[in-house]
Order: sequence, then C-alpha cells, then structure tokens
Amino acid sequence: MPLAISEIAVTERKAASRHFSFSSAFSASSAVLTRSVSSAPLVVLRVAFGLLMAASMVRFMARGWVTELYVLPQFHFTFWGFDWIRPLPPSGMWLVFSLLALLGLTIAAGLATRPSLIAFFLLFTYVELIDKAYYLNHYYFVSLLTFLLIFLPVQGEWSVDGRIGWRPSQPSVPTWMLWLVRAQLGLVYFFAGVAKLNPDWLLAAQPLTIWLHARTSTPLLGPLFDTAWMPYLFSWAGMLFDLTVPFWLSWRKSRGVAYLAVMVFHGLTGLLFNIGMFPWIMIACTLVFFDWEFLAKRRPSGQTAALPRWVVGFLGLFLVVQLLLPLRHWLYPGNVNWTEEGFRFAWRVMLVEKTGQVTFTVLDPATGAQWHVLPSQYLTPQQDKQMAFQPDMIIQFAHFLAAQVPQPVEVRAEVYVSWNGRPSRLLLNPEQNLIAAAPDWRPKSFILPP
Amino acid sequence: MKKLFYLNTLLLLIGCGAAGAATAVPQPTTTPPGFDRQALLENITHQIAIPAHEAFVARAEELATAVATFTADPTPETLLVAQDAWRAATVARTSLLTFRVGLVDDSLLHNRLDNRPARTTFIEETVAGTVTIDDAFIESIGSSSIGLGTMEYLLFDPAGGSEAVLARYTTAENAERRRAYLLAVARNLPVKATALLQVWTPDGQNYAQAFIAADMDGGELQGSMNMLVNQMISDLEEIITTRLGKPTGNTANGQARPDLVESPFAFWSLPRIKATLGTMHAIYTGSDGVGFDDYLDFLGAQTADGTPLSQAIEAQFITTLTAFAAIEGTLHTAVTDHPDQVNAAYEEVRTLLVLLKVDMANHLGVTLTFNDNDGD
Repeated sequence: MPLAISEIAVTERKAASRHFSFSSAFSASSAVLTRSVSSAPLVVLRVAFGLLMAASMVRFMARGWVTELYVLPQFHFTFWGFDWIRPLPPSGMWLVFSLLALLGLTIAAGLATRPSLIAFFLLFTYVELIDKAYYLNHYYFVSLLTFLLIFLPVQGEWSVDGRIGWRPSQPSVPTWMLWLVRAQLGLVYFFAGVAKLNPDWLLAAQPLTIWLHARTSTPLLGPLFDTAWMPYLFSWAGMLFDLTVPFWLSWRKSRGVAYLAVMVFHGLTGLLFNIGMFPWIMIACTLVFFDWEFLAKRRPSGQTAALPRWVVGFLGLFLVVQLLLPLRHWLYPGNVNWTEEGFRFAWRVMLVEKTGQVTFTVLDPATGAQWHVLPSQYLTPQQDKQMAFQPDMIIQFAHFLAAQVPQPVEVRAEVYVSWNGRPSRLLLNPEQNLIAAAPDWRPKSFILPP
Repeated sequence: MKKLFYLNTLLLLIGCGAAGAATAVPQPTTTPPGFDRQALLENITHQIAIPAHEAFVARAEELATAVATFTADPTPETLLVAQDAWRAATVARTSLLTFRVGLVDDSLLHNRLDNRPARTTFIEETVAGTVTIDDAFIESIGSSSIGLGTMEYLLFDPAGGSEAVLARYTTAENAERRRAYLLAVARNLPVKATALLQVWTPDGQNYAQAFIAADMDGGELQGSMNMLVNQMISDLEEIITTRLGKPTGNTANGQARPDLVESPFAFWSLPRIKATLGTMHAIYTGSDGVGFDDYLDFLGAQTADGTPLSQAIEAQFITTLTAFAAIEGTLHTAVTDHPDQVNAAYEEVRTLLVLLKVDMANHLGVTLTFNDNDGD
C-alpha cells in the first residue's frame, strides 16, 4: 500500500536522524553557544571572587604566614621549569600580598578591571610558584580562574570602569563565555569525584575514617564520628556529590537544590577540616551557574561581546588542556596516590592521609665519610611534612644538601611512608643516589611499589 | 536525568575496576563506638605530667638546700651531696621535655631552667667582677648563665675532679663570689620549677584543665593529643640530630665528637636522654591508665604482619631503652670506646621515630602543621 505523502516525510526525517550529521550538530551547538545572554553571572562572579580574594589575602597576612612561609624558610621547593622563581625580600613579599588584597577590591569594584586581573594573576601565580610545599588545589584554581577572567568582558553592566567610561558597558555575552567558566568549575568537582573512585575511598572509607575519628569533639555530629558507618556515608555522599554536582548545577530545574547542597557540603567540610578558604571559594564561584537575569538592566540583545578568533581558539585549547592534565597520571606506572606522579594540577583533593619520615644519608666518596641529615634541621614543619611523601621534592632537597658541602657527595634517602592507615613502607629505593636523578616530570624508576 | 544516572554508574564501575588492582587497605575494625580521649589526657595529665613536675620541684628544692649547705661549708662530702642532688634534678628536668606544649612552651620557663651550653666566659667574668650577686641579678641575666647547665659547670670539673672544684670555692681568688653565684643560681631553680608546675595547677594558670578539654581539635589544630604527639616526634628528632647525633658524628661528618655531649662537665648525658625517653614511654602507655596504645587499639591499627601497632610500638620502646641501658660508661667515653653500642641505641631511636611519626601519626590523623590543608 502506498504511503501518504506525510508518512513519507516522517520516514525520511527518521532516516535522517539515524544518520548523525556533524555539520548540522556543529551549527546547532554553535548557535546555542553564541546565543546572547545576560552578562550578570560574570559580574556576580567577579564581585564575589574579588571580595573573597581581598579577604583571603588579609587573612594570610594577619596570620603571619607571609613571614612563616616566604621569609623564614632557608630553602624553597621550586616547580620544574620555574626554578628561577625566588621570594622577594620580606618587604617585597608584604608588598605583593598587600597589592593582591587591593587588587581583589579593584576587581570586585570593576575598576581598571582587566589590568587588575592581569596583575592579580601574575602576582598570585608568582607567589604560588615559589614553593610547591604550599601547593593547594584551590590556589591553582584561583590562578586558572583569574586567567580566564582576563579574557572575558567581566565588567558587564556593573563596574566602575563602565560608570566612568573606561570600558563600555556589556549587558550581553555569548553563552559560551558563561559555560567556559562553569566548565572550569565543573571540572574541579568532576575530577575530584573521579579521583574518589578507588577502593580506599569507597570500600574502606579511608581517609575519612581517620579524619572523622580525629573530629569527635565537633558539636552534635561529633559522637557519630567514632561509628563505623559514618565515614562510609561521608565517603559515598562526597563521591556522588563531586561527580554529579556540576550537572545538577547546570540543569535549571535542579539548580536551587544543587546550590543548597554546595553550601551544606562545603560548609560541613569547612567546619570539620582545616581547609582554609576552599569552601568559601567554591560557594562563591558556583554562583556563576545562576543566570541572575533579575539583575540585568537591559534584556540581552544581539549585540554581544565578541572576541578575536585566536582568543576563542586559545580558550578552547585551554579547556582541552584542563581536560587532559588530570588524566596524565595514567601515563605513569603505579598508583598515583602512592607515587604522587601526576598528583598535582589534577583536582585530587582530600584523597589521602599520608605521613612520612625521610632520613638522608650524605656520602663523601673520596673519604668514605657519611652522615645523616633529618630535613627538620633545614625545613619548616610544613615543608618537612609535604616533602616526606613526594619523590620530586625529596630529590630537590637531596640536591640542596649536596650543595651545602664543597666536595662532590652522593645523597640517599630512607623514606618511610604510611597512607590511609597502611603500615609504613619504603617509598624510594634507599640505594638510589638521588644526585643522579633530576626533580623533573619523568617517571622515577626508583619509586618502590606500595 | 536517566542519562546522567547511567553515566555515573558507568564511571563508578570503571573507577572501581581500575583501582581494584591497588594493594588492600586495612579495613577499619568496628569496635564499640566512642573512645574517651579526655580520659586519656586526664590520665596523662594527673598521673604523669603533674607528678613529674612536682617531683622536679622537690629535686630542685633538694638541690638548693644541698648547695646552701655546700656553700656554707665547702667540704668533699657536701660537694658530693650537691653533685648528686644536681644529677637527680637534671634527670627530673629532662623527663619533662615532652610536656613542653601549649602554655608550658609559651612560658619559656624550660629555657630559664636548663639552657645549654653554659656561657662560661660571662660566668667567670661575673665571679671575677664586682657586680652584686643576688637574686635580682640572677633574674636579670641571660638563660645560659643560670639554671642547671650553669650549675653543672660550677659543680663539676672533668679535668681536675672534685678537688679542683673544691679549691675554687675555698682557696681560690674570688671563692666567696663564686659561692654567692652558685648559691643564687641554686636558689633561683625551685622558684622557676614552681612557676613551671603552676602553669599546670589551679593555683597558677590551671593549664591542665584547658589541656584536657582540647582533646583532638581545639579549634586552630591545637588539639592536645596532636601537640603531645608532635612534641614526642620533635624530642625523638632532637635525640637523633643533636643529643646522640652530634657526639657520635652521625649527623655531622661521621667523626665522633665526645666534646659535643650535652652534659660536658658531669658526663650525665645518658641518664638525661633516658629520662626523656622514659616519660615518652609513660605517655604512650598511659602508665597504669589509658594511653596512646589503648587509642591505637581502639582504632584497630595494625602492622604489616597483622599484629596490633600498639604492641609493635611498645616493643620498640623497650628495645630502645634496653639498647641505652647496654651502653657501657658515659656517652662521652662510649662514642669512642663503644661506638657500636651507641649506634645501636641511635638506630633504635630512628626506628621508634618512624613508628610514631609515620605509623601512629597516620592513624591518629595528626596534623603536623598549622596552615590550611587541601580540601573539597
């Protein structure tokens, strides 16, 4: 029986839909991404982030950390490729932190916005590059976010720049600009969640079992932290939260509840653990998932901000790098949580409880004389603690020790590490002369299995 | 929604499968919920800390009395009594080291009690000088010219022996001023020892109360258990790097340096080190009451062969103390005459350090630093 014309049309459409068309999908998604929306979310993000950074810098100075972290130590663990970075004299470091606090305020106000963001990015990243013993994922996130904001029209409709005519008001932006920032935030959560998909976290509820035992004096919840089930609840809830919350925040219908979960989750971890500004940074930055349309003075129009093609391409590349960096640990042999190879810049947060002890042996091959060095003789407790389980830092410190004596020496390290409640084991081959190794990104064959 | 759910499940399975190859982590053993950490601190405070501080006050008073007798009547007998009293007092003081936490550490009193090495040139200049030597003067001068370190210099002479010491207080020039200096320093000791005790007790700063209350997480990471563990670690590291490390040369250039022993006039270094380890051991076991070993048992901490970690640490404490007991002679002579014995003790301390700083600290979740940690 012949088909009616309308039936033929339907069949053709079905056939067409089975043959996925890249060009039509591309043009469809490109239409979505370039759709004009209110720039208000970027403004909210800019103000919240700027104020938080100003407060964070004041807190850092008030706690005496400028002196403790950047003035007192006689040795710093520089990053590979950035070995030339050195701390400034004390007055210089104080000036840097004061400027960062001030720049936080100018960013919030939208005064000289882009120069402020550029200066903040450079100064903040400089400080972070001084010593990897102080590496924190949320500091890395601050650098990344500031870098992104430099390229975006974050003055929006609400800035001093716009008010005094330094920069045109920008009520509308293409959707992709919002999603770029949201994607960066989402990656933090998502990879933090992926990292939790391991037997320690899910099957042994470690390290949360250890951490919650140590927090039993917490009001109300505290007594429950000695139970066996509570760490499991926290572990699984934390994993599901991290893995899925970027999606719940992205979906309009679940956004409100998801943000409530963000506040509860970060509020609780902030209360329980000594994690500084991290909860507040995430609570503030996830505000960018809302559309804030009620703040917009004008309806989003077709006149959106435009960026040169190369900038758009560059930002796309940036995002790709961000997608790949956390996965690089698969290129190294062994378990990243033990070897630490590919651990940084990968959103592997709150994942292991690690303790270590390093004893260096310096050997003068000419005389046969050898002696021990405990790192606490040279390092601050924080540097000592961090180095004790990170092979690249141990190698760096071995080179520093060798430089303390005039004659050429060999340096070996006896490194005992315990993680997530396991008995201590040797991390490195104690026979390895660390002077023959470089503290770079290459896999270290002398890391022993866990 | 559904897609999201499938995605999550898929990722979960992939993640578990990929990570399954890793070595097994000990499963937390489920003991009845709740461990009374404050009871642990209460026991350590009232059964170990305060009695040890009281004992030190008593030894300091005995030393002051013995020195008063000696300076009033310097004879070989009175000198011997004063020297013995010094030995007892210095052991009592070094057994307090691990309690240098919180307000005790802030008080800087330990510095005024036993700062080493003694500033011998200043002491000799003062004895030879004209300044009035009295209690006020002793209060005004630096820590290296008072306290047990100074008294060791004034009461012992390894080269000339007791005769030479006696001569300085009887026939030598300025003998009277030397007697005055020694007496004033001795009189100052019980004053400072009492002040140290009163940091803990209700008639003073009553730190015991706050110490017991702030069991694990007293806000800024100053939980008392954290502080105690950190102080144990720091004391063990000091034994390795300095107290044994320097005279053995193990942390210098490998050459023995007997002159670098911590007690260079009385040669009383080993009893001092043993006193520090002895108190640390008592803190760990809680003596007759609740200690860190009980807490490790509660946490289900095990060694690689499945025995309780608490037992391994206890065994290591015993092995370490036994190794010290086996050292013949003084540390001053042993580093050259019996280096193998001293090195054996040194190695046992290193093993003990790993067990406390790495294994025990890992189970306790002791935060060793006061900065922000990473988090999500």
